[in-house]
Amino acid sequence: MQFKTLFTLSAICCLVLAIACTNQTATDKTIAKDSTGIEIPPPEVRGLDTAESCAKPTKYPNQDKPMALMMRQMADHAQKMKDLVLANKPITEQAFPFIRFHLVEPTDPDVLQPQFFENARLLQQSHQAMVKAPLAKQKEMYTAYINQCINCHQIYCSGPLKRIRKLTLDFKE
Amino acid sequence: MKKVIYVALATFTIACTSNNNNSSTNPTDSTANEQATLKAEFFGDSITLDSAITLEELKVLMADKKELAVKVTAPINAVCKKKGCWMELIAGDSSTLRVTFKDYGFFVPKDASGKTATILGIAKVEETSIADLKEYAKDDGKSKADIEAIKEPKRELVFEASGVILQ
Repeated sequence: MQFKTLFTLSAICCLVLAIACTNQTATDKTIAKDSTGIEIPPPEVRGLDTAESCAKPTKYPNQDKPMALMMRQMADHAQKMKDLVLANKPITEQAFPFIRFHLVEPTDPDVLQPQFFENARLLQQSHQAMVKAPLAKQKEMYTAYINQCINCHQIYCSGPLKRIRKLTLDFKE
Repeated sequence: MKKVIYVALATFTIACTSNNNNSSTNPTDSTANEQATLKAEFFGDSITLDSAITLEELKVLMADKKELAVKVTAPINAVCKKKGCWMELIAGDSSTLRVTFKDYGFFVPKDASGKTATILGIAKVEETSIADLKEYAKDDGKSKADIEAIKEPKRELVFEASGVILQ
């Protein structure tokens, strides 16, 4: 009789433990609670950034002025023009029109001096010469165009100079 | 017989307590960790936080080198106030390191001063021109007198970062 009771109780204990363990596993898979006791589903269920998805880097976190945005576009154009020149292919005005950066708001309003506008005029002139030049002259004209960029940035904003120098045809790392 | 019942009750209580503890701690911990990671901001190339050295360690390593590819972590002392196109990290001895971003290809938030940065890139000893020093001073909001007082180039340790994490 005593043995039977002992056996039954042992079986109950095992059952209780088994249920407890099962619940624990289920709980691990769900759910945190906030301070009010409301359950918070995992981030992937909530459609939020997880640590992995959050690691996507940003390039430009500040609200940049239009002139800075146009300068970036000009840099992209220049890289494509360099590739064309090196491949001995023509640069056309249709593909690479002159970007009128000097007519929009700059990051630093102090740059808006007569010299700056004169530099912009010279750059536009060299751009025209480049896109109208025969293929045989394009290397020379492209080089003159990039040199205009360098000349102006030496005076007004030296930050991008390293990048601009990489756009010269003879640049080596 | 009573002993057996007590043992059964004790087992039941332990099992329940253990279950409650687990349900209240594990998910909370993991949420806290997630939130800490989510607070980090990433700029430029994707990099990780591991294996970064301190600014003091970098200075020791650069004592006999001109250039070194390395990952460094340090607090931010200043950021370019115009565009976020450079930042200055500070060491425990108050010495600083100017960090620019590879190919002018990404910037950091202008209000990042006071955060901790982890940067991956190239540390170099090079001469910074008078024009550049003046521009950095201007970007940093220095007075006209301070800017005009810059009369000589400076040979210094600088850093070109390809990726940045801010925390």
